[in-house]
Amino acid sequence: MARRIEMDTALMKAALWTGVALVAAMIVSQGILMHFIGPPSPNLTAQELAQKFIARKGEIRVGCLVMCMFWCFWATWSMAITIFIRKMEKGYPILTYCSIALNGGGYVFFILIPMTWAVIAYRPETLDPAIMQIMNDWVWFDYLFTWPPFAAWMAIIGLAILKDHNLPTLYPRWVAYLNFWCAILIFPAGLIVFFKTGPFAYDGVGAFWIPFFIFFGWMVTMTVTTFQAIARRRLTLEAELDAAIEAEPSPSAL
Amino acid sequence: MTTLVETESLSTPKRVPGEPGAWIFILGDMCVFAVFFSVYLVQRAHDPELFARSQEQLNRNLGALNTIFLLMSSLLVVLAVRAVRQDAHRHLAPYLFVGAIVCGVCFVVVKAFEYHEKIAAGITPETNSFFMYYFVLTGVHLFHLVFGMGVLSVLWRLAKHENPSGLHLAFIEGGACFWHMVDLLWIVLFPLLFLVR
Repeated sequence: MARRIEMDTALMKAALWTGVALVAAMIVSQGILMHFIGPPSPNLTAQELAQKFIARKGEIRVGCLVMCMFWCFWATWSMAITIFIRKMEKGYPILTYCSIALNGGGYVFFILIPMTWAVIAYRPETLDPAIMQIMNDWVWFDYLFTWPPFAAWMAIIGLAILKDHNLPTLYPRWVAYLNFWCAILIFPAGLIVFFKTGPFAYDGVGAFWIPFFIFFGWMVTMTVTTFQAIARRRLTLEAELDAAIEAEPSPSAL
Repeated sequence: MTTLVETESLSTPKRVPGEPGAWIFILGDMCVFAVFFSVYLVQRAHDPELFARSQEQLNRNLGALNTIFLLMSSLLVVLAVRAVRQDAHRHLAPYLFVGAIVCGVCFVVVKAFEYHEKIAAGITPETNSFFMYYFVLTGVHLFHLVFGMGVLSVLWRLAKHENPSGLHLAFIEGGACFWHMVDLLWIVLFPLLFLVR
């Protein structure tokens, strides 16, 4: 067929795969190389923390490089969903613009995480442990305390799905509710500022593990549902195209 | 508390209230609260004496007052959902939703007063682990309640439509179920923090 649907499904899928790569690289770099899933206790002394960085400085440096490379994919992955938000909106796409702004901003937090760890691991032997402790706290605050733009984006995805004017809708409606749920439940990450021990310290169940699993689980779910949305959208567009071609007068009739 | 939309229940006998998707949100949320409650109970078992002593310092009257506000708001939401379904009573639904929102506002005001009372007495989340749980659990619940008031205000707007669509009705049911969940969580939280010995 000479004419093709206007959506480049291969590029859309590639953008989604970058999100899968991000999660995989996070497990390899932050988990296997750096041993930072979960976080070191905020209750460690500066000396104990310094020992961790000195002992694993090689792995941390490599891990930071990997993380820095793959976490730039936040931008490509999130735009695959944003483009669907655009298609779910009509002429004044406020949710789309909010989505772009929130992800452009949120993305900076992502990159600052490995960058700061890399600076700590750059000369850990001579770095004052007290300063190292503050820098390490800073990374975990960057990791968790920066939840609001991500929660706001989840809420925006949810809103866009509930208000979708397409028939059939691009995403099933349960995805909207899942996004609202995730938006609310990464909130305890904001409590880390009050505690140095217990479930809401930055190594705790409530402040780290629940938001961590919810966030990356949500990334996986959004990836799968967006793959499905691409497949459904493709079928719809192809059907529309076929109908348009059939509606045209055939060359013999001219 | 919220029952089926009668017209739709005829064609689909096993229908759940609201949209099925909304229950991912509601049940998922309740699971996470169940984790929080379990963590609290485990911590409490480690130091029952401290928890009992700290609990004495809570203001039970304010907790009970808030329980009444939430139960009233849930009742108003039930009546509002019923009203929306009936042509004759639909015009009452927006007022009932506003009434539920006012109850929510009262809850927030009482809670603010309660927090202020604690902080004025020098009690903060850092005082001991009981008060850490007290502030965090009631704070997370309050966050849900404020979100729930946002949901209720959407329901209030939808209820003003003269002829709500099936999707609108389902959304209203789902939103109402969310509000009942906020109420239910408080019904568990109140005895857990204020009363259990």
